[in-house]
Amino acid sequence: MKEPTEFTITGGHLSDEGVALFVDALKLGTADQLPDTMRMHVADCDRCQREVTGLFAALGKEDYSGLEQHPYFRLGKGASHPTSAWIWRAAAALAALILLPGLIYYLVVRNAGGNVQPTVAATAPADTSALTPPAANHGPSPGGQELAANFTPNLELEELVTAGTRSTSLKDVVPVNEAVVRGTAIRFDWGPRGERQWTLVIMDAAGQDVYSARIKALPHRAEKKLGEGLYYWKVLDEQEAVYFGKFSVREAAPSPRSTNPAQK
Amino acid sequence: MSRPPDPDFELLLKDPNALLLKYQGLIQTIVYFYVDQGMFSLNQKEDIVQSVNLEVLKRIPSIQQHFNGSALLKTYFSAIARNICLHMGKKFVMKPIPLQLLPGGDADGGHQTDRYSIQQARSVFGAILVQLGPYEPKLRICLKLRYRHPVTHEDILHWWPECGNREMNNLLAMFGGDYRHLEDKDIYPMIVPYFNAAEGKVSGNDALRKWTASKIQIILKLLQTAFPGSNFDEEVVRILFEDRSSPFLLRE
Repeated sequence: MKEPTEFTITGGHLSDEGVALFVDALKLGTADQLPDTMRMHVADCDRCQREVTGLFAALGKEDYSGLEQHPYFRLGKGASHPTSAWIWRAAAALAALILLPGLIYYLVVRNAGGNVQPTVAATAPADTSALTPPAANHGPSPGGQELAANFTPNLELEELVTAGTRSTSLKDVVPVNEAVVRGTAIRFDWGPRGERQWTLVIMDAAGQDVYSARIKALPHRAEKKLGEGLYYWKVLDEQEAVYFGKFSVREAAPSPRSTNPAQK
Repeated sequence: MSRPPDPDFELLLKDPNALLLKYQGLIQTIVYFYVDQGMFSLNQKEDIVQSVNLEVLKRIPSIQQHFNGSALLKTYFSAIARNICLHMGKKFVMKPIPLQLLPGGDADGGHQTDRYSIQQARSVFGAILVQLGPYEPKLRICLKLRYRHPVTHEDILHWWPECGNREMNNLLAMFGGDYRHLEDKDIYPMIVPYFNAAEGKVSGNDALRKWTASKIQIILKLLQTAFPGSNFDEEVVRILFEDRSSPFLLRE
């Protein structure tokens, strides 16, 4: 899969190919498959909107309806996120195979409200015979293997979180580190307020960006439905990342431990 | 990178002249579009096509180097051809050709160009809303309020997925039916508390009105970009929005 950065040029705007990809999406009705970072950027960027709209209009008479394949998008009914979905499925299956005992331990203990750090990979395999899978009332969720992969800590990002939460200049950060939240309209907030420009980026456990927004006012609500899983997030100022944190998304009602201002 | 299933990509690498030949129709589409927009005169159009061809030929090595196969090559090629057209268009004086969009004009049974323009404007309007993606649910509600369209259950859920039953019932009672008798000064104080609740903000009535107005200006600018010869105003946005909400208002 193409990384979103491949569609940008210096200054963060879409390249000609990025513009072409966006127009392909408009023509094919696959905008929901575009990288979130790209969609978020275009939603706020006059220049890129002009380029995309201008090209879309100029191609008004071009018919894309007979197209059966696209290098990026998956076409046809039930198309989901593009390109290498099979790679992620394979990766999820492999990760689940390797880490399943520790992951089940992790999930169940978190469900029970235990205060355990999710360093699953380092946890000794537990006796899983008496443990139950995640409660059925957690709402729609991916298959067990994929769900397990969603909670697999990303060692590289874990290190950044450890370093980032200690040395940050931000205060009163919401959601607090390791919070458990519901996956809709998560509230983000931090201090100090002021005229600074921030960028918020949320990554999934695989390290893929799933949400990005330029912050104009705080608090900020991430208008993105996140599935169950472990997520990392970072705050960047004009020059560099100034905070790394993580949180988990659960569909079930949060336990008393997980109650946090992110969802007030 | 996996090899894209775009046969044109192979042509680009192995036989760019054949590719250019294959894309002649595409280049004509782009050039004729700007002829229709008044950027070039009718008697210039074949010359412009040839000039674009020559310029594209010069850029083939760069295209071969930079195109990485994520988008369709024909769209990417169109982007290049369009850039060349816009660059060439700066040398010419624009001759605006106003588009007829208003009902009662030529929309019904009018000239084919007008019908095509309407279809185009409708299509571009839809594309603009897609680009405003994250803001679209909110914008849809705001435009409905601005133009006094009934707000539906789906509109509200799309904008505010966590809306409770009480809030939903209140909103539908206020704006789900005919509220054309209300004025902006009535509507905004009624709706703003719900927006604040949905977004976790504390904004004043004027903020929402200004937000809506700013998005309408963005839409107008983008329509103007799409149709450089047009002279659209908010009335066109209203018509296109109403057409989108109630299809067939603008019949082709």
